[in-house]
Amino acid sequence: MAWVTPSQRSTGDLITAAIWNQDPVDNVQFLYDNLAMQPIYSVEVGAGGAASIDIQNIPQTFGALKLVTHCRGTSAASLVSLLLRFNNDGGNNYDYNVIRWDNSSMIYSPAVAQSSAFIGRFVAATGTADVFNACECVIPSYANGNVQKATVSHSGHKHGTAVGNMTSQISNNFWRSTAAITRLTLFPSADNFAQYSSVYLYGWMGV
Amino acid sequence: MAELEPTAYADVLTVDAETGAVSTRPLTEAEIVERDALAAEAAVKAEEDAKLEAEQQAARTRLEATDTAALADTAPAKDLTEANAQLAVVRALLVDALVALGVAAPSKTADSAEKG
Repeated sequence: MAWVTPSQRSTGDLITAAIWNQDPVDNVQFLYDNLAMQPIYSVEVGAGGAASIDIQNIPQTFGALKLVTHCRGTSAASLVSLLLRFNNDGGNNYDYNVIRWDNSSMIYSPAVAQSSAFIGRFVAATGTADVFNACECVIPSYANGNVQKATVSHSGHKHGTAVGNMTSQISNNFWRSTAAITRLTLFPSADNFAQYSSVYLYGWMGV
Repeated sequence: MAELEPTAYADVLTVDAETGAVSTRPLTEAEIVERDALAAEAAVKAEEDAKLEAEQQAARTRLEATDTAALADTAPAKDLTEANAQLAVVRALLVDALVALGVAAPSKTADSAEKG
């Protein structure tokens, strides 16, 4: 469906089916298909939690993926790491560079040849009740079978109400594979995702 | 070393992005072993990070203390008072010398100024 710039109409003009189908219908469909960010999938963890969230059969029609999470962990810790694998690859094929800071310090935490990508952190069981933390991760060219994949993500973590209980993180991850990404598996570095943790996956068109 | 409690993992939540179908399954034995190893590794890393953060905090506290001390050393009140007193002495000597040379008139004291 191609875009056709709509014509101005005047009072008394006859709007035929062809005009209607092109101006509003096809053009809106074109915008939806090509310019909008489309929701692919979203899930909320139920009672009992989840050891991991495994999204399979990801459509290969987008230019980039955007993963948004809002999570809490069940581990007896204030914070845990949010890890990600592509295509269920658990080999040491991930490299990352991470910077994290709070009100008094800044940690640089690069690592190579890891078994998963490290896209963020989130509050766990010893953190303030009902607090959940957000993370956003963009995966461009995920369907391109000719290039190794790279992601950029950031997350914010809060596990208490003191100023020192908040940290932020920027992470850059690299996957040593040119395979098109069809599957994303998210999991915490320890224990499970708590109930009400949510994951949203969107696709961006590559226009 | 105390034996760690085995982790009770919840099910894996699997979704099909094309169809929207959702299913669950327990972790396999191999996956549990791997997850336990990852958790142990993460705990070590968290400990290292906490140590690094504490070192940075201590360094920052030391730096702030040094800054405070340096600022106190350059506090102007005492030094300027002394400098002003020394300046007044020099000025008086200079005036006396100029008077002795006949270049300047004797300065009026507060008392003589009042009398005109």
